Amino acid sequence: MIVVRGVNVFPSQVESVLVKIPEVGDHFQIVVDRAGPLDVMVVKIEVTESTLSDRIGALMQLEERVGEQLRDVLLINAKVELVERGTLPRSSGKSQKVIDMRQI
Amino acid sequence: MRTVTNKLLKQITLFAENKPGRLASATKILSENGINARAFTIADSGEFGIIRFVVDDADASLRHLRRAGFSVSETKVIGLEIPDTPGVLFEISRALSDYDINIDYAYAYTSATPNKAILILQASDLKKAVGLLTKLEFHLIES
Repeated sequence: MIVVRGVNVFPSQVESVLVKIPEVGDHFQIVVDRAGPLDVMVVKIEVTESTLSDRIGALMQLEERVGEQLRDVLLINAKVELVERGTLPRSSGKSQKVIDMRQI
Repeated sequence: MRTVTNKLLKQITLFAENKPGRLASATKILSENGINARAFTIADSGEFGIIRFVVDDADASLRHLRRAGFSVSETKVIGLEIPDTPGVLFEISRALSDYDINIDYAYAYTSATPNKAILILQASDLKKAVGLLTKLEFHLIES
């Protein structure tokens, strides 16, 4: 578990949201950092072949839709970032699922 | 039987994070496999980009880029050989507009044929757009 802006966030909550979205792959990574006094949470997800569109707007809409669904469950804003396939760590361990830049 | 799909071009769409070297990595794969990119365009969102290629061998491009780990897909687009003269783009865009067809994106390059240009375009209704442009006697390029 990590605490972001005073809210408990479990990676399993993020996973439970992502598995319900067919366009999203199996792998994700949470990166928490600070922007001034505020915590900022980014959830990185990989592009899949079925997600990939020639219309960039469709991909940006996917990011927004995933962000909205994460907010509904986590109760805080999460910025969603699409990344290239195969670039996120293939591990279920928390150390790789969560990168907490606030502690560095 | 000839279908609308026969009159469309294959375009390769490649997803790339917005960082140095991604275009170089992708084009290196094409280069090493003797594939010529006839036209390309990049659309970017800030954090990532979509690189769209029209190449001389779309199937081989997909295969090699996938094998190299890239996220790629094939899309059908309209390729038009048009006179390289003023007013042609206006004529095409007005015709599509008159039939309520939206151009989602477009890019162009000059043709090897003298005084001709190639216009690649993606439309909100490809079937309707192909029908209209065929009726207007534009030369559609096929893959």
